[in-house]
Amino acid sequence: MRPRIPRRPLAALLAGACVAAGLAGCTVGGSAASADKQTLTIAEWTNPGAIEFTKELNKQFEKQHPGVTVKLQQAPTANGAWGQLSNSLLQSRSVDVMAQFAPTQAGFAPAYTKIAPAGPAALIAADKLVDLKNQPFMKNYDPTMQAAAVGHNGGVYGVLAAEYVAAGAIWYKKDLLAKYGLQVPTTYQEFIAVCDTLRKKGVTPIFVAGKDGMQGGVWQGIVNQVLMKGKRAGDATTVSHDRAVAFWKGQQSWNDPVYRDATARYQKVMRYIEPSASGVAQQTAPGVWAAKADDYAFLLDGSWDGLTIQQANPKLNLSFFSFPGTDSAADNRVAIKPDLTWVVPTTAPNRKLAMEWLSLFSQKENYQKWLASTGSVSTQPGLSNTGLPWMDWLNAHGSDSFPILTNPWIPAGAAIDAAGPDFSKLAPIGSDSADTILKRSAAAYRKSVG
Amino acid sequence: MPRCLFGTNRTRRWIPWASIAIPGAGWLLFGLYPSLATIGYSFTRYSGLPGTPLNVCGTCNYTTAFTSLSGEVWGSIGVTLTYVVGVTVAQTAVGLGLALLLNRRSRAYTVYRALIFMPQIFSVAVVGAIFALILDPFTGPAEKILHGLFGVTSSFLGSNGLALPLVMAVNVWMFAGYTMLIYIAGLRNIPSSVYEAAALDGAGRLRMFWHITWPLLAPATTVTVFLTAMGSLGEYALVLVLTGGNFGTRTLGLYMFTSAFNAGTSQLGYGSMLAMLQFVLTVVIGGSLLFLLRRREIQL
Repeated sequence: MRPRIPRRPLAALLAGACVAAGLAGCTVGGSAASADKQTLTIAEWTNPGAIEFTKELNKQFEKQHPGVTVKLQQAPTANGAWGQLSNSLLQSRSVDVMAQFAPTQAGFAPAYTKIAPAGPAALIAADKLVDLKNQPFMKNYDPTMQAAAVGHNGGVYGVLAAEYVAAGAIWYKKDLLAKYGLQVPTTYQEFIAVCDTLRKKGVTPIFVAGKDGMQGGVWQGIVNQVLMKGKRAGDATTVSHDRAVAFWKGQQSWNDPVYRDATARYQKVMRYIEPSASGVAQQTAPGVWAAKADDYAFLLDGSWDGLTIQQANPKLNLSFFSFPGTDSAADNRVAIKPDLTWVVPTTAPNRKLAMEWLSLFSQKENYQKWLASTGSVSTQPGLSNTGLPWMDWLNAHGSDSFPILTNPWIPAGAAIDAAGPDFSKLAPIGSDSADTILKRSAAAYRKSVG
Repeated sequence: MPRCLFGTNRTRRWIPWASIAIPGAGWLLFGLYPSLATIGYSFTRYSGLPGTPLNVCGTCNYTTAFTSLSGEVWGSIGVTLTYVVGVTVAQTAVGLGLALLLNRRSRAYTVYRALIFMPQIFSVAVVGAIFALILDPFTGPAEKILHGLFGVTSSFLGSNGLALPLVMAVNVWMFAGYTMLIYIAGLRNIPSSVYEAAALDGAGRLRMFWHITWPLLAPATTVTVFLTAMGSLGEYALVLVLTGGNFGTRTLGLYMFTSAFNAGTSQLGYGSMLAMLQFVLTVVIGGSLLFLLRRREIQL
């Protein structure tokens, strides 16, 4: 007699198998797995302009590649959501092209520091990203800039696609300045004079998302301009490295005169900010600033927020400039921060398609649209971001810009103070004096590196 | 062969084993394995990114935590303890007050209790986002009310003095309904005859509360204090959404989260070591609380 197989457990087993197959991303039958149907997965953090552009590019790619579907995965950078998404996509080996923040050379601390790479630098060091150096589309980009942003041991592990003015970017209301006969300041003294005039006219000069520390950009801007005085843009990596080594060896500290002077200047600027600005988050600041056309002449923010500001108040006549941190206009150059970088994981299921997608992205007409959608500074020589009205100042003054200096190396878990002043504690937003803050930072750095 | 709802007798024999095996496998996979992995990772400089090397370094993270980064670790433990004490005391007091106020049998009170309990069912991210908007000095109503009533302004979550108490207040608002329910259950277990006897002896309301209600609520107090303290010990999500850990609000939980998972700088090894410290802190505080509260129950 044949043993009888109980039906209910069998049904449960089949149901379980189906669930398991579903969880594993498999499909029953051959249609989804057929050779001529492929899905290219692109992952990008949520930035409205960048997402809109990517969706359009994906449509273009699908039209050029019949049978290929491009899937866009996105998450906001706030509260660690993007980190979680990118980690899970890497873990599941399901992403082909992925946005990452450029690690820069600061991501690769020398072995003697015993600081292990983190983020994209860790992926590069572990050979988990494809070297794109010899890809034909890389010829469209400035090789020095790409190498500084995402290069390691002679390879280039991504396409630096976006850069922004982050340290000391200041949005301003053109009509408000014009109303009081004011010009865009070119020196620190001029900036203070403009703020004084505005205050006398009953205008609060500066608005800032103090809750998220955006005021720190002023301090960073001053330090960058002072340390890069008389240096070529290409020297920025060396200047950063030399400073990091000097900090590590104890030859320099956050309590040195250059940082004391920058802190004193920063504190003077902070006298002109909206008093309650320390409670304002970066998410709401551009909207609040844009809505008040007759107040808050300046907004301390990154240059990436142009489209957000414009959406909040389409009638606003706006532009931005870089904070003039020194008394010499010639030294007040723009510091540019590398930002979104496309990378291809070595585990990408469709590496060839990924390269074709990057090639399409890199075409001049597409890249020009990308610049207009994101407000980014161009990383392709010969192209500039001319599609946006607020890029006028940068296009006129950005020729001698340089890559933003990177911070000295600090180990994971180090105090906020170890990477420079904690602007939430420094007066006038906090209650600590410049002397206390800088001594604390210097001590925190020394302690953190052991 | 006899049949029943769960198949034949032969298959029914497997049901108890399956009932143990399925949750057991779940516990092994989602409980024991991550816990052991966390212990293991705490001895490495692992970035946490898939495919990157573990970089085993022995006790390096523990040494760092108690030497070069001791200020950070003790600082965040200090914030955590302040948070735990503040939230536990306030939530217990508010929950007890609400329970005494709303322990009535009518539909209106049922609605009130449901409304007060409701924040508990929202996710922490939603509550955090709502309060971040309410406490925004420009777009939120809190500033307008404060200015309208007292003529002063505040940056609320951007203030070094106010940020931590405000986060604690949001936590209490969210979970006080839960505490209230525990106390209401406790209140309903107190026999009315005890109150009647006390009333005959001439005891007033305050005396009855102090000598009858409060001692007989000791088991409920043990439960609520223990659960609140344990819940607030690991708090990081609310702090992350409301302040990002700025303005003196970085708890040990948030320090661990940012160390382990911050995009670009994450070091899972260091974060795992902080998770181990969090575990030790939880065991010590949880154990001490249970011991003290149980002893208190016996004394009362």
